[in-house]
Amino acid sequence: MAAELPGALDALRQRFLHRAADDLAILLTHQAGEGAGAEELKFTTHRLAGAAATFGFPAVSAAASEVEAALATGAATSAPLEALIVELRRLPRPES
Amino acid sequence: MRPQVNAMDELEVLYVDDEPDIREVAVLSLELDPAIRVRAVESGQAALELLADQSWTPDVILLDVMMPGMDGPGVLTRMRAIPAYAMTPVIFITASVQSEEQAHLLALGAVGVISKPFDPMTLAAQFRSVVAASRHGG
Repeated sequence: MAAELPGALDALRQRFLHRAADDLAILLTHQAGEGAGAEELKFTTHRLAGAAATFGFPAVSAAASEVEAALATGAATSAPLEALIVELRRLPRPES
Repeated sequence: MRPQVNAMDELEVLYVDDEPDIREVAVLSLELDPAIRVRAVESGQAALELLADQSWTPDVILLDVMMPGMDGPGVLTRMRAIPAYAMTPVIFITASVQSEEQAHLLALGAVGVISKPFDPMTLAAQFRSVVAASRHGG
């Protein structure tokens, strides 16, 4: 079972990369002022903060956490949101 | 009355997390321990429906904190109102690293908090450690 885990993690990492592309689209709509609302932004960035770190993308996780922190304190989100978008665009393309 | 859970016993675990990839990783990781079996659901509502059914009862519940709709603390509160689960150990798992937040989660009655990201190769051992500590009052 332990020997199968790395392969399973690779498959899940690829799935994360596919989902990250969808999350990028969501964040771009928020950046354009057309997002579904603060709750969607909050859950999207929280999900990214946890999943990105788990699958080996700490820069995305950290950037997502910055957006989360801004949302939690009521601070402006434009700069951290832009930084997160930059990091998401740096992610490798999914292999499939 | 439920028997006390020994840290090395077989453990039936209910894992609640809205993030599907994290759910899969956690299940794979926890089940590296051959004595741990996991059922994973995607929401607090789904967890409460499963618990209300009582055809399967978990020994420990692993709860994500931030979820759409009902969050982890909300699940814990509602779960405690079900007599069969009044004493079931609950462990929160969260990406929140603020010590105040973790203290708050413990004050709600959780026996431990596991941080995300977790190491898939050591999550089972970490989980066992939290369960063991809860049994010894640590």
